[in-house]
Amino acid sequence: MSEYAVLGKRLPRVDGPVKAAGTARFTDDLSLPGMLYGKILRSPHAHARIVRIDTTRAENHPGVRAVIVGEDFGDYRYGLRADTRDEYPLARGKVRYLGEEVAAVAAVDEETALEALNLIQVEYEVLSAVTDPEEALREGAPQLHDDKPGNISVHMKTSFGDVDDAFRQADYIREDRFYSQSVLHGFLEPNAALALWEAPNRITIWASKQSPYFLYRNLSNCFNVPLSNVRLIQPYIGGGFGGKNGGYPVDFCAVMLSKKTGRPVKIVLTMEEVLSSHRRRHPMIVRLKTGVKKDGTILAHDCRIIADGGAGTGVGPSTIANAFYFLNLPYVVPNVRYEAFRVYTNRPISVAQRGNGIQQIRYAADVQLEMIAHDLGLDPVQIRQKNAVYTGYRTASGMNIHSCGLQETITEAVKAAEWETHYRPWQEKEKEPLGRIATGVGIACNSFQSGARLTGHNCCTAVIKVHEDGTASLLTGSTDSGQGSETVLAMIVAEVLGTRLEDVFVPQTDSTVTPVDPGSFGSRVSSTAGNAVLIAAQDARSQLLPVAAELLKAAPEDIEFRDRKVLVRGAPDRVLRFRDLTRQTVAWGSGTSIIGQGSWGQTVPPMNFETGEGDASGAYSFGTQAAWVEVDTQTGKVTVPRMVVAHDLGFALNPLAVEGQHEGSIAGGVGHTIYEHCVEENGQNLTPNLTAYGLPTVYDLPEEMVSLSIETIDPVGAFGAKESGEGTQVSTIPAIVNAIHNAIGVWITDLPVTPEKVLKALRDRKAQDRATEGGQP
Amino acid sequence: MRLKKFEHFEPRTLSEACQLLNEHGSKASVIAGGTDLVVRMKYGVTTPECLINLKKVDGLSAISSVGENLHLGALATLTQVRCSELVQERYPILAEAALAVGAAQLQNMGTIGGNICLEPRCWYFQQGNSWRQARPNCFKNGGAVCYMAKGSKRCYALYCGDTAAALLALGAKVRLVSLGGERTVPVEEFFVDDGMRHTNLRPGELLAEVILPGPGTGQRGTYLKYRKRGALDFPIVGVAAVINKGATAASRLRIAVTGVGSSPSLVVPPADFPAGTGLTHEMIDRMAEIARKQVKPVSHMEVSPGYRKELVGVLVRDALEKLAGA
Repeated sequence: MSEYAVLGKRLPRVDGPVKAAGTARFTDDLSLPGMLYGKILRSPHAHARIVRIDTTRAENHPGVRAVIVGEDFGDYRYGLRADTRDEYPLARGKVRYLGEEVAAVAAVDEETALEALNLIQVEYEVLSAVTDPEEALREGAPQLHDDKPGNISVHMKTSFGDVDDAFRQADYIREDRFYSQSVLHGFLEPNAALALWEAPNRITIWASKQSPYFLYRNLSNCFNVPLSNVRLIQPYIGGGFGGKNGGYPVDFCAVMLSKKTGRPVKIVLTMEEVLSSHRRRHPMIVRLKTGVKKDGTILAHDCRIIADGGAGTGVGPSTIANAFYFLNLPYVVPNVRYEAFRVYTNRPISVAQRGNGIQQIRYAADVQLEMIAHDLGLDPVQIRQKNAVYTGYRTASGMNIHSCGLQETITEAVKAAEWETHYRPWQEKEKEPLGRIATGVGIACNSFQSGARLTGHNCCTAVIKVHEDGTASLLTGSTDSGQGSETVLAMIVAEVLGTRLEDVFVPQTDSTVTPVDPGSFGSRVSSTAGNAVLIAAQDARSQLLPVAAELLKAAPEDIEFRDRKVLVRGAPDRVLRFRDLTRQTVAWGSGTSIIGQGSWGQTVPPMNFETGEGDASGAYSFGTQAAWVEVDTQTGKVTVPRMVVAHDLGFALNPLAVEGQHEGSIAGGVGHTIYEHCVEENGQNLTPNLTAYGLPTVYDLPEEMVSLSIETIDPVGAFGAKESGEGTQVSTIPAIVNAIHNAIGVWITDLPVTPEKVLKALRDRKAQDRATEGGQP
Repeated sequence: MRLKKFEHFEPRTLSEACQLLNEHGSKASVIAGGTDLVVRMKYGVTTPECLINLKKVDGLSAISSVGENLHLGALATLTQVRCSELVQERYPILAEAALAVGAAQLQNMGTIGGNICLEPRCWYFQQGNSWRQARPNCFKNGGAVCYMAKGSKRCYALYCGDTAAALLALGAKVRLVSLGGERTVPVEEFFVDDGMRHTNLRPGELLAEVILPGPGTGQRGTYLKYRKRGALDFPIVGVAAVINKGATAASRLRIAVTGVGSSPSLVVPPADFPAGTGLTHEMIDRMAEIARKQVKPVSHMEVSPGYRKELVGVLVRDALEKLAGA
């Protein structure tokens, strides 16, 4: 514990004060002289051919400086891979969802821009739309993309072990269908971009991005500008959660409008635009068949998924692959078969959202495990302990577990939840009449990748400049989108240099200055960027060490950097202030600069989107969540007064930041489980505002949230750290759904758990009991 | 985004306000706290050419005893209402209802008059311009269709005010003023079950005051609000119940429901409903069933009509159980 001077301490976030005081500058707070305001015209149809666009009237409107349409971008399309580039900055030929971007205007103010939108005349030939992924797969369904027959955006089919034989060996088999709904990211800062084009070919853009280097490449390709001329500066970000990874129309349009007008252009979406037509989580239909032995040992999973991809592919291949990878964890599954279709529909595009594909599959698998335990009369905790993976385990598909504290997380979660006191099996409770408020407890486990290992550039780089007064600047392309990485990475620098958190400054990402970085997704920053920062800090330290050795007349290996001092082990009288060392080093000889540099990338091969074979990451986190629910048996309303998170995160670099992540996971998970969904009609979102959409408020979250960190010191991550930001949201849903069953004896297999659904399920319980007895002995 | 241009008047007296209202007629909107109107203006579904701001009308936010009644100026904020000692002592149910509105910030801005006059709500109405362009306008936006009840001849937007239910159960009255004079009407006669025009306010008329009758002694009441989340949301169903001790059977129990139709409504106890004895469980169950049967929800906003109906029964039972146990 005391091994570290800075790490492992509960240090408040460095960006806390400015955000709390309201002085942090977000994209919309910025303006440039002569700046124009941009607005985007969106499709009023879910599916239509664009016959003609007439922008003349809009162009002639006083105050309008430019109007752009799809053709202005030529044939440029973007997407994760060459074969999945199916998105245009502005629609070309066709619109594929209601709210898709069709044209954009730059004008002297927002009002004029809005007026101009009304003057753009678009003639559409309305096509029949398909908004249900199962219908989209049927023959004769409306086709979204000419080059993607059958509306199939991604197809993955794979198998490991002998699944058929395993089912023959199984004592008990269950097959269930689960549905996870459309959920929005819920960031409170709408997507925004301020762009400045300088002739002949220089772009500067301030944009709200959690992974800015996607857009940096996008813009280089789209505008045929060398990367050296794309300067993407990252202001503070008001949340991302996966919805601010790539480039979006707002970014491309801001740049194009600036190019056309020669003036800076800012576009800030409204919350209505974000909620109705920006990206969202993949809705998924999961059909899962599981075979077990009498004692609950899992023998096989056979899983079929239909994911609603919306009108584009986005990062869909990673979502589909993730769902497969984490069918294999956190429980031992010796045989596994998987087939997934990611289907195009006339709906906004589904992308990654905190957990990217893993929530949906673990909701199904962990609730089904609970169903199996219930059917076989097994204890829910024991069935998880029995199936839990362990250090040294290798999944049937080839994922290697180098550190695993899953068992400990189960033990700790159960203890903190006072499980022994509160848990009584439903079979026992069933005999008693239901009171007005029924209570129940539920448990579920999770695992997550500690840094998604994707193809292409996948390493992180850090540059540390040590100033002569002993402070340091850390240049990293890893963006702090609110998760607190700025603080944690600065702590690593302070730890290695023996300084304090306040001595390290982390400027925000600026693609001209900071090293290229994959981005803040897939829970990679602490462990991957953390290692790069560690190496860079050690590099800086090694440049200071010879000078220190000379000044202190000591062997370099005896020198310690701690609390702004340079000490000699075993000689307490020989001390130097760190700032004196840096000053002397900088002035050494004819002078030098202390610049440490480090790069680190995972050594495992990239994720295999075709077969799912091998690792998804170099390290995996594990965890257990326990939920306590209260169900009003008259109204069907479910509340979660208490929730426990026990997470094997390897090492807690900053326990306070970890708690924040755990609480955020609970908030996101409770929202996904109980409160959030997009109500739609023919592809139109009826709830595109924060009043109607219903993100949970503080009153709707557990009054008591217990956050427990299990430290297993992983061999891969920085200082043994693994992720603790996304995995913790993976098991929130099944823990709550399992607790609901424990309270009232019904299984909710269709999210969200609305009160109306609960009430109906309660009434249908007898019928449902019959239906769920469908498993064959 | 800035709002469309409008003229802004700040009358100092009620008669000046009525004068302006008379002059500008339907081109004018009256604004008090603005928590409902400004949102509609931002959406572009209400586009007044001028606003008559009541904020500076003298004495319009007073809460005072007049004889044995309590008078609440229309401009009293919901925070003022719920914090008023007179309200808390004599009509705690009204304080309860005011506290149930939105959130603290909205209660600080929103007024009792505005909350009573709250525009009926609907997913197809309160939406931005580009959203509305994707389908023909509904009644409320000048069209000829109600998306809540396809084929219907009327608008089924939901009235979602919280305080109106409490006022209805309390038997409150509202004083309406116009250039031609004034009239005082019971709250139940003020509302109309029509999403297009949910009050009886005549052109040129302003709601000036709420009058709570009697000293409030021997009275018990409660307002229960069922909403999706613990804050911010409008009621999916709100139920106010008031029991008057020693009164006649008809006025002994007053139950009002909000969030179910285009206006708040009273649930009338049957003529044979017993007076003079405490509420028994049987009576409560019977009343809950009467309430459940009496309401005819149509809107499927948030929940299905059937579930909304169920909730009315549950909330009436809960409210009466609470009063019986108090």
